Amino acid sequence: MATFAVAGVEGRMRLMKKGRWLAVLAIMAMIAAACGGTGTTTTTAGGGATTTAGGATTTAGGTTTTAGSMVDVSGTEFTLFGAPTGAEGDAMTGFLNVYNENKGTNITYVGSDDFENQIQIRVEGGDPPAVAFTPQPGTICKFADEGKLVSLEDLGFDIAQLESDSGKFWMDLGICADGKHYGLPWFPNYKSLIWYVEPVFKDKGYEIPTTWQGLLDLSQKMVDDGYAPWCFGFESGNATGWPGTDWVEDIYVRQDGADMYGKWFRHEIPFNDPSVATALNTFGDLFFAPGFVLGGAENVASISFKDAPLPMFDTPPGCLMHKQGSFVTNFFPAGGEDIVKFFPFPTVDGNTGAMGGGDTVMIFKNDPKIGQILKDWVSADWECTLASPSGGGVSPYGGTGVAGVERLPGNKNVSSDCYETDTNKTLSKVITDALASNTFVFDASDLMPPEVGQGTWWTGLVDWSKGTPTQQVLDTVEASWPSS
Amino acid sequence: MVTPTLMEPERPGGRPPDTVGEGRAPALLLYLIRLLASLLIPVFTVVVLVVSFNYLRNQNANRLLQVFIAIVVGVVGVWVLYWGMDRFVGVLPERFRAGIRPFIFAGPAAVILTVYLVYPAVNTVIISFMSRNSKEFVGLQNYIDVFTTHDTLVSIRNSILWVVIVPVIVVAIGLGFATLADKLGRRSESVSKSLIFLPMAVSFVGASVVWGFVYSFRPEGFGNQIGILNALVSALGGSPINWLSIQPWNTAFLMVILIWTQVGFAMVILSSAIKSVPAEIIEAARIDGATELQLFWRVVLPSVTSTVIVVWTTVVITVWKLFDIVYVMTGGRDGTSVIAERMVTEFFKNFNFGAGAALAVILFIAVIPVLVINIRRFQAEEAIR
Amino acid sequence: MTTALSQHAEKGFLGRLVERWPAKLAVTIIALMWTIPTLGLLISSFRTRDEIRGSGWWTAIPHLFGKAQWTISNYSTVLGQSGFGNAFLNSLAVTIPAVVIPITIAAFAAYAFAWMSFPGRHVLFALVVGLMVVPLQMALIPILRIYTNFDLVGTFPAVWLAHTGFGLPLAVYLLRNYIGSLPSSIIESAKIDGADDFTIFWRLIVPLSVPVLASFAIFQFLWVWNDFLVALVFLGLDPKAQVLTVALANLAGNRGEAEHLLPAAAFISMVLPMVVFFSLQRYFVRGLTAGSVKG
Repeated sequence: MATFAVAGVEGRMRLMKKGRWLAVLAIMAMIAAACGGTGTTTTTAGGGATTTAGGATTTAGGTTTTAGSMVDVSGTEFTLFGAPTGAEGDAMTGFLNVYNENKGTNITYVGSDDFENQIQIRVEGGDPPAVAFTPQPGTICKFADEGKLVSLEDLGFDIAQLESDSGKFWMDLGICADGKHYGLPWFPNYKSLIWYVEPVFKDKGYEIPTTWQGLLDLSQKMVDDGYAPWCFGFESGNATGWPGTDWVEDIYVRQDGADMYGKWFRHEIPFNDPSVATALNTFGDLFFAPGFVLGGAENVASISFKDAPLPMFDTPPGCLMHKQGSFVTNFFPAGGEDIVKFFPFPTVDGNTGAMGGGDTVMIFKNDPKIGQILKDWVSADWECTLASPSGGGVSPYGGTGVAGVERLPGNKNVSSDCYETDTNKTLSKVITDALASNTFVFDASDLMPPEVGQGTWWTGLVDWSKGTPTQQVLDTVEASWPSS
Repeated sequence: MVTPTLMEPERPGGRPPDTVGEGRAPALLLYLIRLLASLLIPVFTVVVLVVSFNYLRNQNANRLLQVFIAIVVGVVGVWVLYWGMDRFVGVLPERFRAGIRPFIFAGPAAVILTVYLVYPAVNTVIISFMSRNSKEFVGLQNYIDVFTTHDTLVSIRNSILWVVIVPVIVVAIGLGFATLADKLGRRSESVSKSLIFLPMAVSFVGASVVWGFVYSFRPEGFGNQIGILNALVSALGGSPINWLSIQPWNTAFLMVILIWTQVGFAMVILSSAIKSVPAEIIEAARIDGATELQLFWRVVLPSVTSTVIVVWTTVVITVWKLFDIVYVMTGGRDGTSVIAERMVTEFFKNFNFGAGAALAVILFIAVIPVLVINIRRFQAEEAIR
Repeated sequence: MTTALSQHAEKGFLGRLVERWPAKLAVTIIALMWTIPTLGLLISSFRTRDEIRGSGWWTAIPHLFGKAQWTISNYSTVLGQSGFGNAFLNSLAVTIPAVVIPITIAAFAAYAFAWMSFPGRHVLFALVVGLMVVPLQMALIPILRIYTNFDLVGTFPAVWLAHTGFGLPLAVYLLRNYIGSLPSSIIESAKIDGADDFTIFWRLIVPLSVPVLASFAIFQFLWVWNDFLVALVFLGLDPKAQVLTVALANLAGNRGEAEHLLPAAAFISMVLPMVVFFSLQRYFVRGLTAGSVKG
């Protein structure tokens, strides 16, 4: 009896960022509100928004510019399809409720655990949604090359502005065979976090390491003090291995930079290039060091990533550190966030970086109203609304109304005040800084062809964790790269 | 002693009686009117079906009303359709009737099967000869790839193991349980059968949680064991075992899950069959002094052979198609992959339509021996009849 | 029939008990083995998330009657979820017709294969059986294309017909096997009495086939009720049209944050199929054909 796997997308992490809140944004908010209706006469500083003709140009560092006039979107109806379900799905619905009320549209959100399969079935079967957002930007070009998507250029987006707001790296992910952009960055998540047991750190006087060597030294110190420093857990059903590949990718982007990283996942360098081997071996310095891993490195692939943080909460703690994205707090026991805090992944070879994932919008229906709606959504104001249940009190529209869910910003102009939790205030700032400096990169596994990124790279890493030599693992993955 | 009484049977002829003394023309006219009238019934039914179909498409209509209408239309509508078609056939000249009737009876099934199964099957075969995005013809390349990739060969080997082992066990346990339960009193039988049937009612998501609680593995230091097996092992002093990682036993552990689910199916059907073995035969054998075991082997089993083969065939096909247990519990890791799971991975995860389709075609071919067995059996049965 | 039973009766209550005990023992052992895993699910559905992940479910048994550790919050969360009642109704709306339509169509076809003669019926029937192997996943996209062309996506009839299509091979197989094994003398006598095929089918075959019809009804009900993929693909993206399985699947959250709700959800979902099973049990009785063709 064939029910489809509900495995869904595991390994998505959400990270909140803080953005800078420019004074001009307040003005932008007024202009945006003004443009919500038909031609308006509210005057503002910079004297832009008298009528809709001529659009809402912004001053420096502002929100996305609409090239051409603001389109009246009231009455537009469509379904937005995405992966988030549960509380995160409710937050999307909450966001849309606010938008619908504000603009007179009638947009519904539908989420599915089985998103990757469903979107493919719908598109191939001829019944795609009007708009969808995907956690896997690699699939965007697949649909675009078949002619199913509408390009951002065709909808009148200002590409240069988007690249400035969301980072060129993310925008480039949506460039397909014809050179046009088909993916619109919306909200990211952040993975480069290390969680630690704060009371023990305080007790033993451990300092938070900022370099890789510092991390290794700290781990050794913990071993000497009788602790197991690290908890790992790679098991994740048919996605087993992804936490490990995240480690390697975080190391790689710091060792070799975003450009090499791009070459790596685009297969402009072979998978078994020496740089990859170096990154893997660097990880091995930590992973295979004696006593560093609770339960032993060879067992890590059998420990569920959801169970992995648990020993941190035992008395005495079974381990003291664990690398994982911000969603891991969902697996903490009650009150866990009071005990376990995070620090950012350290620099490697002196370089910093930021790795994460995110949801990118694809548009199936060519409609200027939809284009306008999306331009709204990626603007700083609406991202601020989506950011937290209340919009932090600074969002002009309020918030999603759904407790416990916060969305990190895909637009560097979103203020960290949009967030309610300290965690996300900090993280949103990290992200907006990374977006602004174009050092934010995507999880490579999501960008490589799925045979590799969600297949042999994961299984290869699992083999490596059980003792297969580095070079052999990398050679196998390289051999599996599809030739077409 | 009595044949079940039928209502007054229809006239064998069904033709309008020649009104004595009237000319041929009015008789012909009458015949045409009858023809038209009986044609009217299926046509009218189809119209009603279409109209209600359109009503039922409306998403905003009252749900309860829709359910009600759906049931009525679904049941009565289909029945009336058949009845109408049959009336129509009854009006035809006698010599056509016997030839056309089978098509009336089997026709709707054939149409539906063609649209929903034959067309996709043909489509699958076609794209198995095309490239990964189904744009270019590549001939046998996909099949060559399938048979030269180590992972796929592993999955073929595993699938064969599954097919050889699981159906036999399922049938054996199902038959055994049905026989034993038959000896119990009405209430005990009902309860025990329900317990065996319960796993079928647990949806697959529930089953994966259930067996997660059996096979769960946590290394020492990671907290209490929440899986039964490892809890037993720990209690007996051993260290926890990663059940689903040990080859080749992990495949056996996965087989247990499918067996657990399918025995209910086998049991229900075999139980019906056992109960239709005429009691006189059993009685006669008992009088002749047969023991329970002999009774089973010599009397009951031969009578239910055809049903046993039906159940076995069905479970075989289910096993060939099995993928979700492997996909969700291990993702095909550690040597557990099976053909159908690879097919889904290639098709939906790797977007390699050609390879996925080739694996599906392999499944089609693999089922042929089982079909041959069945055909032979039908022929043998009819010879006896 | 009567004699065998009366032999039993004459032995008296104790006699019967003694005679049955090996069977009872074996049955009890097997039934227990089968039920223990599900028992774990039941117990877990009453535990909190931390408890489920912190200790095995059997550890809760010694404290069966201590109130503190049990919770019904899982159930209340699942039941209270917005749209639950609607999803339940949708599941009913999908399942019931998707059970009765295939049974009807298959019964007619089974009779044709069993008792009518036409050229190639054995091979054709084997082909029907063979169609059971066509994987569901391969059929989804081609059928969705057809539905899109005819603007059928998102309608209930679309799902009924899809389930009918997928369920027909097994239905025809099971029914044909049973109908074919009915004593031919019954049918011959009816034909001699002048009945035509339709009447024989409707008044004779169907009443006699109730056990197998009931069996198949249960399986089809189960399969459609627990189905996730067909409903998701063909009912489209309208949240008002969601069925129960889809609604419950979305509960667990994308990374399994709310996995502790799954046991409760599974049990809630299981209630109706079990009720159906129980109510159809009485059709699995002995000897429907017995005594019908003597003399």
